[in-house]
Amino acid sequence: MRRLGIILLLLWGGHLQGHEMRPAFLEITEVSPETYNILWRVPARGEARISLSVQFVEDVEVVSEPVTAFSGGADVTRWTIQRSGGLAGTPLRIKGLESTYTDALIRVSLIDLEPQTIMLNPENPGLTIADKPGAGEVAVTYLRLGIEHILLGVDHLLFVLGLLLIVDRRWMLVKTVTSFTIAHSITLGLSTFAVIQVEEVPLNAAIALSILFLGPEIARKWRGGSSFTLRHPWIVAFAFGLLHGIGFASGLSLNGVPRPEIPAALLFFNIGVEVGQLAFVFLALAVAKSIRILELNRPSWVLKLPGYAVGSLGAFWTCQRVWPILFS
Amino acid sequence: MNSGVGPFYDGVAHFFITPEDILIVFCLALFGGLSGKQASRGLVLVLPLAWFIGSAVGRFSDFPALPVFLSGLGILVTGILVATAPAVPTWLPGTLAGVLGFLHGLMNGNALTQSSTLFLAAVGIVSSLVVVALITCAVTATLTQNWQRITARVLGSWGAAIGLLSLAWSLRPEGP
Repeated sequence: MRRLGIILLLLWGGHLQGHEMRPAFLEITEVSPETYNILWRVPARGEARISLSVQFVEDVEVVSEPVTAFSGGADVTRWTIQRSGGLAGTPLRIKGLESTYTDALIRVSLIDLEPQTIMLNPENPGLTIADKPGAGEVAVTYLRLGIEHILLGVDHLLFVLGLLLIVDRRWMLVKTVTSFTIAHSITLGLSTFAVIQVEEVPLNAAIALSILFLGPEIARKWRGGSSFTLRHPWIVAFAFGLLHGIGFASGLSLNGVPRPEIPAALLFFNIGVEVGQLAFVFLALAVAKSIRILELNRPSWVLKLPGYAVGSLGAFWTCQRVWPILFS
Repeated sequence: MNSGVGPFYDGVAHFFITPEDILIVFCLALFGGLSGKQASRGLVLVLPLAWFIGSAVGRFSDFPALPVFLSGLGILVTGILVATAPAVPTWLPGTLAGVLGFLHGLMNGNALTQSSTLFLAAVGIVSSLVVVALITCAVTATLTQNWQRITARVLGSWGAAIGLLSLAWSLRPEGP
């Protein structure tokens, strides 16, 4: 039964992806009255492209034809448009977004107005360009992006689950989760400001290794053993948190955001990540407590399933991510 | 329901924005919790299993669409059971959860049309209901003071009222 569980986990692991969530980005800048420069950035992975396009109102005139170049892992297209009466109050739609799981970050800078930053998603692939930006748009947009990023980052959540499995005492848990938070906040900031730059492939492999690392520690705890990690989990959480923070930065698209807004965007993205992470921690603890209250008698393999999930998926992702480094 | 963050979260979102689904799970869990730990254990094991099987049957078979009033009726019956808190055999909450879970799963199965993402969406729905049922059962089962149990029963009476309204709405005669 235990072997069957591990096989199922590995089969399912193939469908789980780490933090692969780079939103598309559209920047509309009014350079002179009724004339706009457009920058359209669609993330790409290898040969794979997402089929997305920008749809303005019909009476928009193209002043300079779109020119596309591949840069920074994305197709970047630039062109200029003009519209009599301006774009304010007109609808805008990202065609194809509804059939993806990608978001699109839209930034509109109109003359004499504060810039607007709005996130579109498959549920809401269109918007009306406002003639007056709403308050707190940057905060809401990046808060949501942070929550989405942690919810989709199964590898980050699995690492947090691994930490929960090796920590018993409440105070130590607070210390461990806090040190993980501090560590990933540091590297998220440094990575966003390009102080640290790490290639995506080795970074993802290292994150997978951090999850795999926790597998044997969980098994050691089951056997009643002791190790540096079990005695000082907060130090390990801090060390690996530095790594995970760089991973979080991959979900933070700041291209085009003016420098004064970057600290707010970074802050709210980080808060979003924390909200998602703490929700996961509290939910996991509430479920564990409920199981204890109801005295659910589970076979030992069920008790060990979360631990096996951490170790097996960590091993699977490590192999999956190290393979291209060694053999490409 | 498209949450924008993948089929698993589509399922989670579907559960939390479908009042008849979340209400029936909440009422069933209150009923299980008030009936004791043993009854709760049966309920939290049977409910997700029945729901998942119902979803699969609803999606992959030609099972006819169920009449809408069944959902209101289920909430009404469960709400009354919570409000009156009768002494029932320990197998009853689990059995009721099995029947109602299967019916709601069938309705979900009919509603989930994207077969490529059905499995993860169904896992999302079932995971959500397991968490809600487990936590509600555990909290209710630990209620020892009279006023606490009365509060739970009042919640059940609200569930019954909503179920009655929903039932009456679904059975209203068609307009001219």
